[in-house]
Amino acid sequence: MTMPPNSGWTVPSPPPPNGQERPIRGRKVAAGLGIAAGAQVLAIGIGVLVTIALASTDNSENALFGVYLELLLQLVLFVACLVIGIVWIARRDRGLGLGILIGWAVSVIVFPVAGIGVCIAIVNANTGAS
Amino acid sequence: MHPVIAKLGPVAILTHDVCVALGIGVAALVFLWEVRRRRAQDDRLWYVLAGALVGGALFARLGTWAQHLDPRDNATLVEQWAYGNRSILSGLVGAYVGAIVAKKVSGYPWRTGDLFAPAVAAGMAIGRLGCLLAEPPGTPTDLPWGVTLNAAQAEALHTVAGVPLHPSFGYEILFHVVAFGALLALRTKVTAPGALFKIYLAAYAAFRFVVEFVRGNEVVWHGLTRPQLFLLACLPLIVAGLVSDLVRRKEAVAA
Repeated sequence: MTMPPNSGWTVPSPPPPNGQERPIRGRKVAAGLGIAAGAQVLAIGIGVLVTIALASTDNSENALFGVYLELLLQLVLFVACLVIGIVWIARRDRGLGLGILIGWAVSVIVFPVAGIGVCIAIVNANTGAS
Repeated sequence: MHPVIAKLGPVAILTHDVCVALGIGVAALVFLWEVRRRRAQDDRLWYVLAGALVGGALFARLGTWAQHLDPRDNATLVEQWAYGNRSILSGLVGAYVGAIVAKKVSGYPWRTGDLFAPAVAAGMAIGRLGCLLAEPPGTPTDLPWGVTLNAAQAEALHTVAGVPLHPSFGYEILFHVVAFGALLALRTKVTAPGALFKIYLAAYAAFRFVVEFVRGNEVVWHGLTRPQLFLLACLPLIVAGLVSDLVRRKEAVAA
């Protein structure tokens, strides 16, 4: 006679070791990396476009606001990637969370001049500063 | 000099950025290859990789912030982040610290430096191509391989035109290529955990100290540049760590 599986007479199997219930998949890491890198490109694009738009107005001094916007976007992106990445690692898909952190770091290493540097160059070109 | 590799409308694709991206990609592939070869597959290595990259990114951009002894002379953190110097030496320190923190957080107990060593050498060799093509080469030289810039290139790079200059980044690329080959040859012979990476770091620190004499960086104290002063502090620590690893391994084999 076989015991029903949840009869209370069976010994419950031990819980899996910490982390094994949520395996890290390379595909999820790549997805997280793509999300963070895409967000970085978006932040750079918005900042540069706003700076170009403000620089082409009558008062080109306003283009400086584009630089501040780009700085703000970079700060928001950093905090967002850090918080979302850690929360996803702790509570949800560890691969996606790790991918977001890795993607932010890679994008910061790869785009050292893009973004703020380009905005400053646009402002300098329009205000005659060297 | 080719600072721009392509143009997509108003957007310039910078050679430096492309080479750094390629360098990171190649380093990731070599790292994966080394993990498989050593059969070190472990989920927690993702944490170590993330820690190393985040630490490397933060330190590379902010690591050169405290350049002056008088804090009033240093840029603000915002200015440093926006357009301050980027330093590979600070980046390496940040990656090292980030990897150690990630190992503590994830509970990964083994050494990881040897997994990273060939990857870092390969990535640096490719990444430095971007520096070679987009940054001021070095100090004037009479050597036949000196790089001579025209007036427009020299103005863009804030250096002198019509004078042969040391291709200091070319020297560094050669070093990393040779180091990559040496690390592949040594990785089965150096068995003390962590020693291979420290050998590479010590060799790079010594090499970089010498190359700094022809890099053209600002001399700040007794004929030495800031990276040289930084290396003078770091090199003894790396050598001490290497000796410690080798002694520990010898004792383990003897026991």
